[in-house]
Amino acid sequence: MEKGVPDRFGYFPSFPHLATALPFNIMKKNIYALLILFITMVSCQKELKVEYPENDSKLTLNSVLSEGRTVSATLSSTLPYTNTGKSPFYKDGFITLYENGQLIDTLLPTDYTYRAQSEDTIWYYTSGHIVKAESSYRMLASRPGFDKVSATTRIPKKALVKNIRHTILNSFEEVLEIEIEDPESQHSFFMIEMASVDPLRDSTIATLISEDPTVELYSYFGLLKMPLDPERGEIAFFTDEYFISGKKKVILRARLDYSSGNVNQIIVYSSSEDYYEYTRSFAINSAFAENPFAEPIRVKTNVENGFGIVGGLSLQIINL
Amino acid sequence: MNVFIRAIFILLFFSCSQIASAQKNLLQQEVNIAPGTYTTQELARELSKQGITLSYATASLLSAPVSLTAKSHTAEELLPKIFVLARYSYILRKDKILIIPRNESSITISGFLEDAASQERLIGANVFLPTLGQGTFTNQYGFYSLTVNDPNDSLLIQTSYIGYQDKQMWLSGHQDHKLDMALPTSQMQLEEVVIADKDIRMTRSKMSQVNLTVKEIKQLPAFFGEADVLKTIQMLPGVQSASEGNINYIVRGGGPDQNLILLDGVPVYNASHLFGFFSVFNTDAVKNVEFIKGGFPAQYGGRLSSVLEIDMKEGNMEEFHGAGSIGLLASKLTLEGPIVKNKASFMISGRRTYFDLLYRPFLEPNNDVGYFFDDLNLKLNYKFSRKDRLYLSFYTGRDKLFEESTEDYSTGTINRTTRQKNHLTYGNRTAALRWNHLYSDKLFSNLTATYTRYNLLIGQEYESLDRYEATEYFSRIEDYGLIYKADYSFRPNHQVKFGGSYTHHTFKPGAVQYNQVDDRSNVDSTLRFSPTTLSHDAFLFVEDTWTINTRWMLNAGLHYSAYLVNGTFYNSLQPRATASYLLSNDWSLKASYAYMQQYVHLLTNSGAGLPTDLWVSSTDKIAPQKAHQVALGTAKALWGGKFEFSTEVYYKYLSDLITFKEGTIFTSSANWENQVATNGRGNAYGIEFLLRKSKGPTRGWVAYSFAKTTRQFDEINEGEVYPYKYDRRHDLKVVVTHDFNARFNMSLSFMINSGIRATIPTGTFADINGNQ
Repeated sequence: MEKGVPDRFGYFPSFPHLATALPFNIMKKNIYALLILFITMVSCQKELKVEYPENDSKLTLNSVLSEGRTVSATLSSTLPYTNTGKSPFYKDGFITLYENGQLIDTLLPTDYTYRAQSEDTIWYYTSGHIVKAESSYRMLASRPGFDKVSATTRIPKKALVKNIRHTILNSFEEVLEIEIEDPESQHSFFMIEMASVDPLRDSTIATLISEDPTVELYSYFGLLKMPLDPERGEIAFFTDEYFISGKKKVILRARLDYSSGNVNQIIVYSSSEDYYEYTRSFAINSAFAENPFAEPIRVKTNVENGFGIVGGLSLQIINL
Repeated sequence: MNVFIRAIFILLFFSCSQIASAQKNLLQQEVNIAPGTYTTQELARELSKQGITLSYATASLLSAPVSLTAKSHTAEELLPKIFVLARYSYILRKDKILIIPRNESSITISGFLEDAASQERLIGANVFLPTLGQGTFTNQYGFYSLTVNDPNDSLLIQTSYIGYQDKQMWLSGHQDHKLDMALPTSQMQLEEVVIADKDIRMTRSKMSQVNLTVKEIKQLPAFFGEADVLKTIQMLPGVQSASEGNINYIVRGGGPDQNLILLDGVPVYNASHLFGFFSVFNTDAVKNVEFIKGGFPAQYGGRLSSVLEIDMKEGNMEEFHGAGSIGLLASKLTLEGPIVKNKASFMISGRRTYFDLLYRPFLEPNNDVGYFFDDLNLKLNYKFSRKDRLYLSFYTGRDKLFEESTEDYSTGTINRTTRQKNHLTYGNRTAALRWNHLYSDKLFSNLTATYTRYNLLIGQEYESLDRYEATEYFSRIEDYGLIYKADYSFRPNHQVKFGGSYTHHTFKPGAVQYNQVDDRSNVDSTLRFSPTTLSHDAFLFVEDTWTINTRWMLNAGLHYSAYLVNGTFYNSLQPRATASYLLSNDWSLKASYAYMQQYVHLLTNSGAGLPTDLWVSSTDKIAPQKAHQVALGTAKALWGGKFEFSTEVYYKYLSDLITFKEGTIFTSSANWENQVATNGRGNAYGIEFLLRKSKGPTRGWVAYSFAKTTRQFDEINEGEVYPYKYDRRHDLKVVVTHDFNARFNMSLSFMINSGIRATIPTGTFADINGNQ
């Protein structure tokens, strides 16, 4: 721009010596440098609202069918993950039970219990029908406002507990050796719990320890297992995959409560595959949902169109 | 009798003399043709009319018309004007002149390319013969060899390498050339210099391969001032970081364990420092980086998704140099120079972080907590002769997180002190002893003995007056190997590579050493969670880069690998091929196919991303991972070669993948084989775009990729296909550097991409007892 040429802001001063000292291409580069500097120095922050995915609420049907016992089930529904409340249990549902394909009963909400830390109740749908081993059971459930759900399970034969050897090592630890025989006709899934039962109070479930790599132990309390720890937990899970000649000796270490009046028990479950997978995944999920070292797990279900479990068990309780 | 034989010889002599004389006469025979312009065919016919019978193929005729100014000519004068005597020659038979193809003689041009100042060998430099349309790249040791048909004329040779001045010279035909060239580094090129015939070289660039110089890497923005090789790689299309700020990278939908990282030809199993924020590669010690994400040459194997080959500096043969830096995070010192001038050199480089030293004065006297990492790179090389050279390279590095506390207390009159120490230490150590030998100008060989080790230690120690207890968890992978590779330029237009390798692996995926001493017991035991696995890993390969003509080029090869572990034998024959076709001087089409097999697996926790990842072997229960990859691409030089635009579309199918089962706890002490889901399948496909400017004061690139990758395991997600954790759909990166002058440079990098996949709960339900 020439000296003295007016523009709309007035006269633009002219500095001919500067014009020669700062040729245009260098000025352009400086402007370019300043622009890059500005971009690199300026940062921005923007909070993005992410909509948490929510699925439609579905019915949850839960029932554990134990050989030689009557039938009970509960009917509730799922909650969005962001809802920290408790799932409602329904009294106005409709549950039917089939045994080996034959309709045998309609379960009615006949019993209830007050729910822990809550003012609502859990309704139990019951039937007086006695569950039989090696029978197949199907449960159908519905409630207005929800899609119908159904599940099928098969009751396994009892595990054959051949020998039990109980050794008290010291006041802190005792060892149990349990020899189990696998019923040949089925692929078997086993669970073992040990409990100290006080007739006047709740049972205490013992923590079990095992160094057998074919026995998985999980705790609902989420004990953080470090590499140095042996496997420990409240339930021992194992299958007949590692049985030799149809037998397996399970060695567990535990500490039981010998307070006066207590009865110490070993409970050996022979489980349907679906209930075994449900219990195992539920235990892992409860224990390690917050653990960064754990892979995520989805709690298994055999309920079509819903959640929960209709599982089959044959159990033996052995008093020590 | 004697007279008779003599008579026959005399007769024969005269007969031959007569024939030779007649032939000579044929060539010297004069023909009369009026001055004017003729086609070569017309001239050939005219010769025949005038009694000089010619026998020839029309392909031997020159295409340009011939102007004759004189009337009288000999046949010998006219033949070079009529026929292509560069490729044909003439012979006389009886009363005819036969025009026949020349013998296919070839010449070989070979040598080394070096930095003029330091004599460092230059890797991946382009050597090109523009008159023949043929070229090659220097190999990892700076050697090139081109065998071409003898042009019977002088030929031009050109070299180019980013950061160095181009060189060109004329060579005479008919003879082999041993041509070692020293390239001076280019000074600031503020103005673009464009040489048009380089376009061909640009578009002949290898498919899915990128060469980066350390200068380029150092000019990019650096986190805490530490330029990083792996973070630069992550700015390329098709490469994504495993998580934000992490140096682990994912290539074309593969896993983090499917990337082969080689430091001077030796695998590095964990390339991370500071829990993945920095890589182990100190850029002051690095010379060259080559990255391959598809179209794998047959010489590489053992990983499914990529190869990253990093070469350390060799050391200046001419003079001593030193470089040091004090950064926000770490300080570095590099020294290099001749041991015997022009004969032997060394390079040593060290790096250490020091924030543990800085904050230590502010800690309580009884507590010491800290973290540091350090590296040491060393390279020695000795030039026995032009034909023989020996290299020794060594790297060691470690990360250490430690905590130590002392507690004093008194029980009654007795004062007691307890001391507790915890630490997490991990690191790599690699070594290579390499012998380069030039058998001939056509055959270059390289024999390397290798060693690599990755260690992880987690320890705790407790000491009191009456008791000492120490526990240490350790995991290790350790390899010893021998690699032989050879480059053979045995005939024109073919460059063959062949070789083989043997590696002995030792895997120790997890063990605990326990030591307890007190007044009642003294226990020292080692518990193994997973058995130590020994395996034998070998491969053979052969590949040929065939310049079919000036437009077509094909690289085809076979890689045969064998793996023996615990009596189980796996082997596979892996075909590899890459083809390129020049549509024009500045535009090419490319296609590639590669089948890869991988015998080692990394068991990595999907959440924590800690260095506690375990390397494990294929076993009788765990099959090797496999991948087929096909890719199609095009590359075009734009705006007079200032920019290169390339795009590639790919599809990859992966099989026999493994991953932790649902709910597996990484810190579990169970045998890893019982914790993994096997027989996984994966699909990955996508399209990548790259616009790159490599020369001039402003350089950089814009890269965009669209990708999709899935996984499927029978035991996960109820057997349904699910998106892979690293399934990032969109990925855009921009890198710009600008040199204002020789001392002032600015750079910018920008990256935006879709987030990684995560499994999150969407709802809750109650069990039969009402527990939520």
